Amino acid sequence: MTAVTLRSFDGPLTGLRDTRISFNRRNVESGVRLLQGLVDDPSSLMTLARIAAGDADEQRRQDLVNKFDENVITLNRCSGLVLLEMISASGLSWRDIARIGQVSVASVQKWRRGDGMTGANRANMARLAAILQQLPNHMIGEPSAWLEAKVLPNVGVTPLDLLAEGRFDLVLALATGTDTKGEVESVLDDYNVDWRVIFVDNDFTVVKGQDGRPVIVAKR
Amino acid sequence: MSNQLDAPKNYSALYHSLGEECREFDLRPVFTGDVFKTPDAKLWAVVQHPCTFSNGAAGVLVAEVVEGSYPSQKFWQGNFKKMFLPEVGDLHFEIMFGQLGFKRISELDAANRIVLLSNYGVNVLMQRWIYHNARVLVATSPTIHDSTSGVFEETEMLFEAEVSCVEAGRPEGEGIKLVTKWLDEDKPNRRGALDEPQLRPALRQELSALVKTHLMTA
Repeated sequence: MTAVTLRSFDGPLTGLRDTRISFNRRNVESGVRLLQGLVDDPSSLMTLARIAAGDADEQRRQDLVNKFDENVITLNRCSGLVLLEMISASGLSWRDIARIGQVSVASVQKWRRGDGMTGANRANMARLAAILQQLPNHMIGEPSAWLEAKVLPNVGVTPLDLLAEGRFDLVLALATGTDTKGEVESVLDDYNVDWRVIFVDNDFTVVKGQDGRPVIVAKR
Repeated sequence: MSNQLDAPKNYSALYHSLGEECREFDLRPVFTGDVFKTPDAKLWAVVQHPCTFSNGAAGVLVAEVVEGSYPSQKFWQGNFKKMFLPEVGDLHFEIMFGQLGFKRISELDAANRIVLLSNYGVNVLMQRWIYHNARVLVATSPTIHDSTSGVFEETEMLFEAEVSCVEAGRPEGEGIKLVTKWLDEDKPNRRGALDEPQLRPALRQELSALVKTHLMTA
């Protein structure tokens, strides 16, 4: 990590302001080039600001993951049955609990009846319980409902799908840093660069039929 | 969307339950993709869309299931007359769309179930079935999923309530009746709400409370 301090004139009231900008290994070369051209090309300042914002996002994401990890450690002290009750009270289905825990639905059924969990399974349940606890801190009032909803209309990916692939970090990123469509798309890029091909259907959609049940129709 | 049929990367994602595990779900109503072993030792898979028989139909279209070979990824792009069921224990099976039959629901209820597909597995089956019958390619995600996930949820709810009732010593069928009545009471809103993924957690919570109250009071 390389850091530079930029001193800029910030207006008559505040005067000079120092801004410390860090470059990670990936963007250090471009950062140095930008600094060299800074005096002659004011537009490069905007690019520099974007790099700084990206670093801040990365730092924020890491802070969230750290807080999440601490929460997991605390919850891991609970028994498997207590964790399972906490999770099911949120309204998640048993099959989704199984999918995220990477076990069969039958295993979850046995846990419900009091069969013991392995340490690894209990840790997985603690991770799921932790995310359910953390989401309300980010203005998500109904965590389970949010987890089951598509991340963007017409894109067949939900936060639950991300959890099932172990991408708790992306779910945290979605919960906290995605105020625009572009930011959600950036998270989807992290998940699967081909998401526009795999999880979007440009030809068909689903509407309610006359009997109230879903019907597949061609998009017009 | 892709112009190719789905080729699942992880075969275990196709399944809800396999082999002996299916015994845990004996009380689950018949659903698309279920594979049954009938008394004549033949295997049959339900291939119709779940909406076509979820409301008390007497029978359902089935396709014969035979042993096959392990499907590599490229197998999924062709072989349009089959649905692959790889890694069922040590065996690999194929649902043969050209070898159809008709089974009464009561016949299937009495047979042994050896495979229950996951919602994703049902979506892949439906994609291949539609393609085989109509030469139309529909994306499993989001389109087919949006047309199957509500009724998949309904079946899970029926099962959950039925198990709770039977475990509490109530007669078989009581849980199914309870859920069906509950869904119909508010018709079409509650059943229709099942098609909205973000409404499902609240419905599950409501149903769970209903079952508890029912078992305490009835």
